[in-house]
Amino acid sequence: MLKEITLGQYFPGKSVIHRMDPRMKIILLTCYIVFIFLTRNYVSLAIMALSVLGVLFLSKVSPKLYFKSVKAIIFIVLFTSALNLFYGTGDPLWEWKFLKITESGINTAIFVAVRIIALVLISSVLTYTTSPTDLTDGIEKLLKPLSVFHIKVHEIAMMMTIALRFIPTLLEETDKIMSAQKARGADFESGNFMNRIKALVPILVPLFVSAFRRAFDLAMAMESRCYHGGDGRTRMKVLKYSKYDFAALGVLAVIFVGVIICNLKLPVTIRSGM
Amino acid sequence: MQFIDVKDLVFGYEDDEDSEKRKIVLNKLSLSVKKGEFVALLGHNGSGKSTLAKMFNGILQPESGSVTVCGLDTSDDDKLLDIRKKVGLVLQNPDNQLVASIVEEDVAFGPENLGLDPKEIRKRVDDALKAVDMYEYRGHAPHKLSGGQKQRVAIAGIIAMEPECIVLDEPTAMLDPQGRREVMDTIVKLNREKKITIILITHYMDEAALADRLVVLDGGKILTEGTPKEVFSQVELLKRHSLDVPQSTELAHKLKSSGFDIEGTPLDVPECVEAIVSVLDKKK
Repeated sequence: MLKEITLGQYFPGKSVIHRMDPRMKIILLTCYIVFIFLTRNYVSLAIMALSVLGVLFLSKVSPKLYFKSVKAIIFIVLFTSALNLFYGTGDPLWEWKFLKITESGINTAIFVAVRIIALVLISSVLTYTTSPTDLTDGIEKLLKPLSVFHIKVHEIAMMMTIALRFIPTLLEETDKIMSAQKARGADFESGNFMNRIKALVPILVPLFVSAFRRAFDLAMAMESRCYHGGDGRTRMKVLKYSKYDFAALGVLAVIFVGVIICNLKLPVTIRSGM
Repeated sequence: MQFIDVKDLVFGYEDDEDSEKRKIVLNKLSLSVKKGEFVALLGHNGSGKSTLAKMFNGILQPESGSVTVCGLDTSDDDKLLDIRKKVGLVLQNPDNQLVASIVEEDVAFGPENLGLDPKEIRKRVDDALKAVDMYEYRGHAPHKLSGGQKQRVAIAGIIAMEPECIVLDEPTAMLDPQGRREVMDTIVKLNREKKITIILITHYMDEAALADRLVVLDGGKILTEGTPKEVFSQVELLKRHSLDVPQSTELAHKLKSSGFDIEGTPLDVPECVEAIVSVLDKKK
């Protein structure tokens, strides 16, 4: 049951997005998020929304998966849009008791909905097309400048790698312990909330004991394999920017400039950031 | 000079119940291992064999006495990296010694720590995975492999560092018979073809019979040592210290003690069959 959980939800493929360097993907994603929230009129919003759809298309990941990620947040989208719809200022177009809908309310509602959906979609592209190891590697490289402030970037990345490696192992172990406790008559499904929480104790205690034992073994194995921190360590796979990265950077630069021009030249529809 | 030299090694743990008392695990143990040798360390639980395994690459350090590898003392902290480059350690549970979530990246972990060139690492990883017959699984996630496969990946991770010696601490204890066979075949192949010194800690007598030399530990001391035939011919001594001999050896021993004239000490089924057939032939 627990084995079904896939972390990071990476879907291997060979699309141009898959081939991009994780560092470039993380940088561009950050830019995307900023620009999605910088849009101030429908033209720039449309440019961003269409470019997001373009990226989804290029990633060659099944549209069903993207629908799934949107479905997960659809409630939040509807809720925030609905709130914004009634919070507009100006002349009411429609009124009922204390509820009134204005033009600015409608605009904000649409902007909020499109922005949140675009945000979720573009972030899903990163996790769907980048393997967890590439992702940690990319983060390690991007955070490297922080080591000037004595932040142990390599250690953080190593912890992330190990955590990712052990999640499936510990899930399997949890499954085994649950079965073992059920075989001894433990009941996880009935009773009130407190009882169910209490029922978790006999799972957590052995799980922690075993996790510590594993950690001890792992430390010994790592030491045996000459691990001595990040100093003097090289990598088998060296991250390298390819033509895809520069192409993506170029295309997105044009899009971002377009958004800025539209923002400046065309009338402003929405003022606030959100 | 011997490759690995253990002299008067003493080591103890603090007793769990009584912290005043120390539990001596290794008691004035001396042992040397030649280059290219395949040594099996035998002993029942608590005989100190796992503790000894962790002494060879300086994971544990002697309380008194010394362990030297190629003349490097394991109690010298500055030499530990050099020692660990020469002596690799494979542990019992394959799950706990794999670091990365992709097979080839895990194998690359050791060479990466040595600071090698990326191209050299790639080559070593490919060679190591081929040596343990796991090359086609290089892109897989370790948790989806069988126990034997995982243990072979762990061994590949050590081979990729090109050590002169591999110490294996009960590498087959958590595996099914199929996995045990895979791992043992790999170990024997590494010793015969790549001339890597092997120190195998085990409690399976059939595995021990594959070694050049057996060392039997009991109570932190060496009980007896010699070739498998020499050691397993002392059936009574081993039984007294609650150790087994291979099934074939035991059968031959029982036949011998009930009056049949069996020659030598058969270690596996074909040898045993041969010995029994020759006795039957003589009777005709």
